[in-house]
Amino acid sequence: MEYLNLFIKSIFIDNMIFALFLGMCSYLAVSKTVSTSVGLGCAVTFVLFITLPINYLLDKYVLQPNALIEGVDLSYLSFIIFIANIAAIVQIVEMVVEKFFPALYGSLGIFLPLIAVNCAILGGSLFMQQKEFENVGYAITYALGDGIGWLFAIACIAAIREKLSYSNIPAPLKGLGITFIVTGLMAIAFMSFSGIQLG
Amino acid sequence: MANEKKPGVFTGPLWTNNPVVVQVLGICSALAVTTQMKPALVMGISLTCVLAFANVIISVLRNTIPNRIRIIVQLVVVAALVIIVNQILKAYVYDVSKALSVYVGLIITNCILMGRLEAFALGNKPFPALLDGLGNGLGYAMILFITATIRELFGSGTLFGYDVIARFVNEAGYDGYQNCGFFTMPAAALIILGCIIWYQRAKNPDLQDK
Amino acid sequence: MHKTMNRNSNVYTVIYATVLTVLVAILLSAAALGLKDKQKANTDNEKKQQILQSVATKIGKDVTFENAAELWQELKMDEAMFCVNTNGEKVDGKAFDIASKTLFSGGKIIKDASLPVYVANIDGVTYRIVSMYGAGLWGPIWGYLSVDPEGKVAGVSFDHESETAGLGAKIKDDPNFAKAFIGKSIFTDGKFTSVSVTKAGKPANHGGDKVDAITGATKTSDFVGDMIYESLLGYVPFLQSGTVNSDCCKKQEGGCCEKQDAGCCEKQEAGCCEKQESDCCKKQDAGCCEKKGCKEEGKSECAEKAECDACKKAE
Repeated sequence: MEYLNLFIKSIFIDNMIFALFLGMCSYLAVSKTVSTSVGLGCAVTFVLFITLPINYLLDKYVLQPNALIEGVDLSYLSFIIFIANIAAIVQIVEMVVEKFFPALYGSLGIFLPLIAVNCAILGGSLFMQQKEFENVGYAITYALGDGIGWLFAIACIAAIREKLSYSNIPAPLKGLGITFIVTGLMAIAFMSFSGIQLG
Repeated sequence: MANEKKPGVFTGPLWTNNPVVVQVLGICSALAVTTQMKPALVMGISLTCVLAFANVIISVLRNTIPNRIRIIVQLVVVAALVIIVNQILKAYVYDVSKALSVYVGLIITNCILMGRLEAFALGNKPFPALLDGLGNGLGYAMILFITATIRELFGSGTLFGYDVIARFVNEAGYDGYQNCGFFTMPAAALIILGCIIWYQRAKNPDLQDK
Repeated sequence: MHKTMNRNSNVYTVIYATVLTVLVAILLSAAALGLKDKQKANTDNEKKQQILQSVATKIGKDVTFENAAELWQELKMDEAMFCVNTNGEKVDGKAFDIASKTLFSGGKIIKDASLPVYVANIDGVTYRIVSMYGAGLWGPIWGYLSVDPEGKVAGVSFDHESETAGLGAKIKDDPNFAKAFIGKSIFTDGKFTSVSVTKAGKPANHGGDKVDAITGATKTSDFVGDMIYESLLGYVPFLQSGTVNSDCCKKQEGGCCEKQDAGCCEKQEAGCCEKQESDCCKKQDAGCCEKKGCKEEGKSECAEKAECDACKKAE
C-alpha cells in the first residue's frame, strides 16, 4: 500500500515538472512533437530507474555517517558521487544499448547523452536522499513514479504544442511564452490531485 | 576575437541575451526557489559565484583537458564548487539553505553552467570567461529576483520577510486585503515567467518566434 | 608539456583524471572539515529550538532560531538531560547526540534503545521532554512532547520532511494545532492511553484524551497520533515512575509515604527516595522497596543492589 501511495504521489502530486520544476530545459526544448517527447520521456524514465536505486545504495552504504567506516561522515560528497555515477551509468547504458539493442538505440540513443545533465535525474536522486527511504524498494518505486510523471507531462505539453501551432497567438508570446503559460495552467490542473487520499 | 566581443560579453546576458528568458537555460531553479526573495537572492549569488569560478577554471585548463573526458571534467569542477557553496550556505545562512533544499545541488545540472562552459569557457581566455560568467550569473539572478519579488509581495504580502501589505494597505484603511495564495504555488511561477518572456519579446521583436 | 604528450593518449587521460580527483578530494575535505563545527552548531541550534518549542507556552515567549541557544543556556538544559531505557531506568548515553530516527525500526521503538529525555525547570515546575519520530503521509515526521509532573502534556512541537504545504504542513505551521495538545493527559487511571488525533466528533483511538485532526489533512493528523502513541510507548515506564498522581500517597502503604507531604510527593523522581530522611527509608515496607530500591535495616546488600527482585527475595 505504501508503495502505491508513493508511486501515485510521485506521478501526480509531486510531479517533476509541475511541482518540482525538474528537467525543465529539455522539457521546453524537446516538446515540439509528441513522438520525440515520448522518446525522451522513456529515456528519462529508464535512466532514473537504473541510477536512482544505485545512488540509493551508494548513499546508504557509503556516504551516510558511519556507513562505511565508523565515525566518518562522507555525506558532503553526495553531489559529486551522484553526478559521477549518473554520468558513468549513462555512458555504459549508451554503449550497451548501442551494442545489443540497435533498434532501441535508434529511437532513444540520441537522447542519452543529453540526459546526464538533465536535472530531473540528479534531482530525483537528491530528493530520494532527502526522503530517507527505508529500503531500496521505495527507491525503485519512486524512480518509476518520477519517470512516468515526467513522461506524462512532456507528452501532454507536446500534444498541446502541436495543436497550438495552428492557433493565432500574439507574436511575442509565440513559442516559449505560451508554453510557460500553458504549463502553468496544467500545473493548476494538477494541483487538484494534492487532496488525493489513498487507503 | 575576445577583444572585439568584450563589451557585449558582460552586458549582453543581462537582458538582450538573458540566459533564462532568451537562451532558456536554468529554468528549474528559476522557478523553484522564487517563492521568497531571500532564498532567490542567495541562489542568484551562489550561481553567479559558481559560474564565474567554473568559467575561469575551465578557461585556464582549456588547453590541457583531454577531449574524451571533457564533459566529466567540467562536471567534476562544477560539482566541487557547488559542494563548497552548499557547505558555506549550511554554515552561515542555515535557514536559507533549508529553504533551497536540493536546489543548491541542482546548480550542478543547471544548463547555464554546462552551456556557458561548453560554448564560451572552452574557447576563450580567463578574463573574458570571468566576465561571461558574471554576466550570465547576474542575468539569471535578476530574473530570479523579479519573479521572487512579485511572488512574495502578492503571495505572502511581504518583502524580504517584512510585512509590507499589512502595514501600508490595511493600515491606510483598506481593510480586509487577503494575500493571494496562488502566487506561492508552482503554477504561478510558470505563468509569471511566461509573462516576463512575453514582455521581453515584445520589446525585442527580433527574438520572436516566426 | 603539451608538445611532448599527446592530449588524447590513454596515459595522459588517466593521469589527468587521477590528478583532478585527488585535487578535488583534498579541496572538498578541507572545506567540509573547516566548516563542520559551524554547521553542527546550526543543526544543534535547530534541535534546541524544536525541543524548547515544546515548552514555549511555559517559558512565556516564542522560541526562535536566534534565541534558542540563549534560552537553552538559561534553562541549564545541558546539565539536566539524560537517557532512559524502555524499562524506565536511567542509562548511559549522550541524550542530545541521539538522532530520534535511530531509535525506531519499522515504526516501533527498538527494545534496548536509549531514549533521550530533556528536563526543563521553569518556575519551579519540572517538565520532562521526550522525543518522537514516525512516518508521515509523504515522509518522516518528528517532534518533541513535554510532560508536566502530573502526566499532562505541557506542550508539543512538530516538524516534517515533505507534508503537503497548506494541509499536512499545518502540523508545524499552525500554532493552534500544537496548542490543542496542552493539558491533555497521556495516562487515564494510571494506564497509558496516549493522546489521539482523530477527526472532530470521533472518539480517541486508545481511550483517553484526543485532539481534533486538521481539516483537510486527516491522514497526516492520523500519522501524528500514531507517532505520539508509538514514541511514548517506549517512555511509558519512565514517565509512570515519575508521574505521581495526586492519589499516589494514598495508594502507597507504609509509614513512609503517609508522612510525605503533598509537595514532596509531586516532586518525586526516581532518585528522590535516597534524598529522603533516613528514618523514612527505614520504615518503608516491601511495596515501597520495590519501587525505590530502598531497604529495611540490617540487610545491606539489598540496598546496594537496589533491585526489585532482590528486595522481594529478601522479604
